[in-house]
Amino acid sequence: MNPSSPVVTSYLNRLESALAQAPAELRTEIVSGVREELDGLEREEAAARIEELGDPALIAAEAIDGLPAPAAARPSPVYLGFTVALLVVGGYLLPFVGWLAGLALIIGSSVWSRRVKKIAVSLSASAAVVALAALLILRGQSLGTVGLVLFLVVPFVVNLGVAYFLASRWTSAARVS
Amino acid sequence: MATDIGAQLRKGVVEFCILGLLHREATYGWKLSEELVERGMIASIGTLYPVLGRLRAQGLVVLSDQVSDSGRPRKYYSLTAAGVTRLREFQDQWQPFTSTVSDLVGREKIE
Repeated sequence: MNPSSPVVTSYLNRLESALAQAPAELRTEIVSGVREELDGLEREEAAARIEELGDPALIAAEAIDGLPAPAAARPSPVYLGFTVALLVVGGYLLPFVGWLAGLALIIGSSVWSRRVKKIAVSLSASAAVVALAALLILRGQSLGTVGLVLFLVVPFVVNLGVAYFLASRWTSAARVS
Repeated sequence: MATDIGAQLRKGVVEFCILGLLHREATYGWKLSEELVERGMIASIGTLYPVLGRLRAQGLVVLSDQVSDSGRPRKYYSLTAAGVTRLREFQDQWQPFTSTVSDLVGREKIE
């Protein structure tokens, strides 16, 4: 068998470079498939085959285009657990900041849709406003204790509901991926 | 967004065309590519190998080292029993499918 001509070697090198972004196994398969056709051909015959093959960049683009899209990362239940824990009890452990961190995790997640995030944040924020209003309005009055209880209980109950809502949307997102 | 109808259709059936060609005879990548490019089923050899990779991963096609008619060592692709079954399943569906689609879109050319 004739050794590869410089034209063939150069073409194979260009093909290999063009396929740099492709998975190694696919790159090897394409390059060796082309090499086994071109190796040992006479110069003119090899040039004709190379012309038939076309631009290495186009071959690489076709090859990469044909790969399946990478599977979306499966959402981690740890993120969900941490988010709802902060949302429901974070505000009691670290007043205000803990709850805000929970909201930030909701907004920052790529699993929930914008609509789900909007509903969750609005409900939780509304509960906070109602609780704060109850505390301030009833403060110093005979119903002051009721205001304090509402301040503590309303966000807890609403956020528990929001947590349930987020968890149900998380499960369906995990099923899709 | 405008889509190339032909490209979408080819994408859907090219793996079965490869199974069909390999059912006729085991062959090597270049020969497969040449035939499919000539018939307009793939754009280049670059399109072929990802499909062959998927078919191998699914156990429908296997690779073996053989010597070609010209005496050169080649990697030959051939169908497995599962590949033959898959091709038969496709054949069973393809004729009724194309017939139904033709009925629905109309057999007369629209002027």
